[in-house]
Amino acid sequence: MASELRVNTLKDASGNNSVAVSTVFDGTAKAYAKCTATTSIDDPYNVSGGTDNGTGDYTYAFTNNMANGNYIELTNTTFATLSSYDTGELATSSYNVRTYSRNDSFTAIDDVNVSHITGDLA
Amino acid sequence: MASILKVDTITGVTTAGSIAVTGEGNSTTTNLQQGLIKIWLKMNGSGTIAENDSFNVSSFVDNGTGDYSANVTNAMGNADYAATASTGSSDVFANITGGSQATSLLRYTSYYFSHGAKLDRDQLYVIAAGDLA
Repeated sequence: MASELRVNTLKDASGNNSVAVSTVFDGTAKAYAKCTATTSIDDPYNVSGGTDNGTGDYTYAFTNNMANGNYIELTNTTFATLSSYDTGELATSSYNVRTYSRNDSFTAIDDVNVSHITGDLA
Repeated sequence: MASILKVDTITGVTTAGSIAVTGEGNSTTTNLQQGLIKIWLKMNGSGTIAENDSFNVSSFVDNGTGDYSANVTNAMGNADYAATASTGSSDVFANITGGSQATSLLRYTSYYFSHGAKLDRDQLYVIAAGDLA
């Protein structure tokens, strides 16, 4: 049977390691995904799909939306390339990833990319 | 009234590995287990490698210049978990080594920004989220 527990603070059985439930809410990752260069997504959480906007430019949609566009996105690649994102494209329903060649030119290039999202859910 | 729950293990009723937590907006729920970071570490990769602090890491391996591995204590459920790496430097970047990610081993590399050659870096950071085995 499903059950609901309402509590403000969690502690271990010895009464140590106290953590506020609000810290658990705020500190839990709200989405993450490891994606191929062609927007296929391996083992995502709260990411429903990806869109290829052009070379090295991706948009990924959330399953459950974020509350606002002020969430934190941490992104990385898995090869000797770089990744970032366009802050103007962080929406409540999707986020952006850009990948670049590192060879001094920083030109856009398609590549595997990984992202973690923390912040407030809607 | 404030309340405190003292417990060592939290397990879902319907599914042991799935507990829904109501989000900050008071409507949407998020999965507690999936949202937790499963691996994190800070290490000194310069000279003899040394851990500064870590979670779910049993040991480190120096694979050569700018090339490191972390052995995972409790393995991930598959090799497709989302891992990222970074450095505490303005002229060096780091990332996960492509093709080398495994359920119990995480390999990462640090590079010069300017020309991409590998180098040892004293401040390296890695986090990973995904499903535990």
